[in-house]
Amino acid sequence: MAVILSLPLLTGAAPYPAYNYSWLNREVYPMLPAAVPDGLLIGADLGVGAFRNPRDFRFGPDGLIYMADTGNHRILVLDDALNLLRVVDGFSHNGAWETFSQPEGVFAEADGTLYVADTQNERVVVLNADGSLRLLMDGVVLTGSGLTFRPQKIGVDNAGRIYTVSSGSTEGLIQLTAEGSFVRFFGSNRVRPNPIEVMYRFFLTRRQRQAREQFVPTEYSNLHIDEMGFIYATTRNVRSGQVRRLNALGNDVLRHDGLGLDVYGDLAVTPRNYNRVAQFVSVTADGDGNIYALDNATGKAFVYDASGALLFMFGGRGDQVGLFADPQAIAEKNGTIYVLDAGRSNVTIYRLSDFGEKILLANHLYRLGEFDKSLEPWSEVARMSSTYTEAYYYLGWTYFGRKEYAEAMAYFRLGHGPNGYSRAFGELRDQWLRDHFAWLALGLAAGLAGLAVFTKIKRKKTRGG
Amino acid sequence: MFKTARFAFYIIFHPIDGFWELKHHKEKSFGAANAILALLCLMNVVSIQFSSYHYGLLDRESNNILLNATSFILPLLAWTVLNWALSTLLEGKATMKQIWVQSVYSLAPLLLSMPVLLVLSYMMTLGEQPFFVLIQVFAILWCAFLFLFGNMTIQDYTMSKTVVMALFTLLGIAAAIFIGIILFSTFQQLITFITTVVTEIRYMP
Repeated sequence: MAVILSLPLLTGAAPYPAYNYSWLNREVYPMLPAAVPDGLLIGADLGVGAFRNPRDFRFGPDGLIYMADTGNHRILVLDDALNLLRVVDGFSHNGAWETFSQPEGVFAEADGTLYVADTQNERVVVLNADGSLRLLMDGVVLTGSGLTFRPQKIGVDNAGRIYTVSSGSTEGLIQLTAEGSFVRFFGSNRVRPNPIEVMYRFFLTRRQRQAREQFVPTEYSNLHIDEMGFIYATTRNVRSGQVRRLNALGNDVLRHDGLGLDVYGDLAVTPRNYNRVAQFVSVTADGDGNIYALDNATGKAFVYDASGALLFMFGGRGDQVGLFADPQAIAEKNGTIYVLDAGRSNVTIYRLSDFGEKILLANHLYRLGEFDKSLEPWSEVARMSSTYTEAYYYLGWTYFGRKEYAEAMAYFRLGHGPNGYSRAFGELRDQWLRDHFAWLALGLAAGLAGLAVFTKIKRKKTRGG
Repeated sequence: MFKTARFAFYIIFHPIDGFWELKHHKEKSFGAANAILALLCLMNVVSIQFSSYHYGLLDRESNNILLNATSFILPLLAWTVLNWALSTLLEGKATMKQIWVQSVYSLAPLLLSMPVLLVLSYMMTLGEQPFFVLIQVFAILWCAFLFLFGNMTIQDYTMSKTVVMALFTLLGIAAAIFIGIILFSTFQQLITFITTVVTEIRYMP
């Protein structure tokens, strides 16, 4: 039933400039594209009419795709070959048929239980696999906050705890019990006032102060829950910490090892993107813990490794296939990446290029600690695109893992890893010291003896003179 | 020359006597001081350029000899001029030349620490950085100590007066920088004005 517009002309061609950064001034280094557009999915392909302002697209644990076709007030369920399985556009409640109103988020559990963030109806609808209503969570009171509960995104962890993103809520994610009562705000952002701004405000009148941007904690925009129960979350309107991995306590446990530390998004300082704040709207993670985050401001999708270092990026804003107008959701399965564009009401299917596959394979083996096996793909990545400095960095750690320290040092210099370089150097030095200990000890003893004799002679001389 | 170099070492460990001699015996130390300063500038560039990879994280490619040298010489010059200008008003006994020589000699611990740190950078990992920093901080503190004691000796001041004068000198440097910037921008505007007038006259119909 589904017909994907195949685009043979576009295969292998990337409509965006692919680059990474130099460590020093974050200058742009061109590199091979790691992902290329492979097709488009529009509503007509599924025979259900055009999508209208779709807002959510994610895989369930059952391997099916759940898509919130927000403007058409319905949820679509597709299989991974993009065939339409069913359309959920309402449910029977107390004998009456009820529909959704602008549902912006959807989540499915392994047994087919469907959670719908029915945004404009200000409720969460929980449906059984057969489409019957299990639970209706409406009238949720957010204790301690004057806001109404208007769920936009939703996720459920292994223990049945429900996390939602609610429109306008700046206190954090909203945690609900399985029965739908409010527990707490989760993973709250702390407000960090800027001292200069505080001083500046001191001199302003009340009306001027009100006209300025308010100090409010940042807003969560989306979440993704992995098999281990970690919550990947994105925030908007902030310049750092936009991507987080939250544990059950709500603490960010992502290592933020990237070039920009906890600054995510486009790091390149160019006149065009200078001072532009990344607006991350969607995030997902694969089996290796790689993080796929979508920035609405630049239209770029960023792929970070499990410690938050950038692997590659793709996409952008524009009119060609593979570029987006208003990207809202990202999902990944087996090296295929889906980006949902609310502005164009379509889904762009991205496929990893050979280069991108090599990067993820090498990264996978490296994360497993299989240094003998990860050596070859990392070398291949470096050979394919010599400006991809991350490959040298990981080759450094690979050789370090293999205890080949001299090679490790050479690669750390190429890939800018002073810490790794220092550790490899330390290992080499200690080995040298151990190997030459006898000679060193002998030399030291001889030196001390010589000194003793010398001072004695000198003292004798001065006494004599 | 060798003798004056040895004298620099003597000052490091016997600051009061050393600076006293500097003042009263009027050794031919002006040339030696300049040699020390030149060596310091050179050593600074060398240690940025040649320290080991993991310690030399500064950008080697933008290592500019002139800029590095200026960052040593200009503050020293400002200090000398302003310290002299203020101390002559307040019973200071030193000449400008003496202040210059004393200031440069006071930087001798820094000069001494640089090659040591350069060699150590090839022997230490980043985990052992605290030792590295310890030496650096110690050298800087020793320099500051020499600076104050040297100034006290050649000016024939008490310690408290030296400290107050040092603070005033720093204030004076700030004022000088401020005036300098104003002068610079005024001249810039003047030059722009003149060139504009000249252009207008040249292209007058």
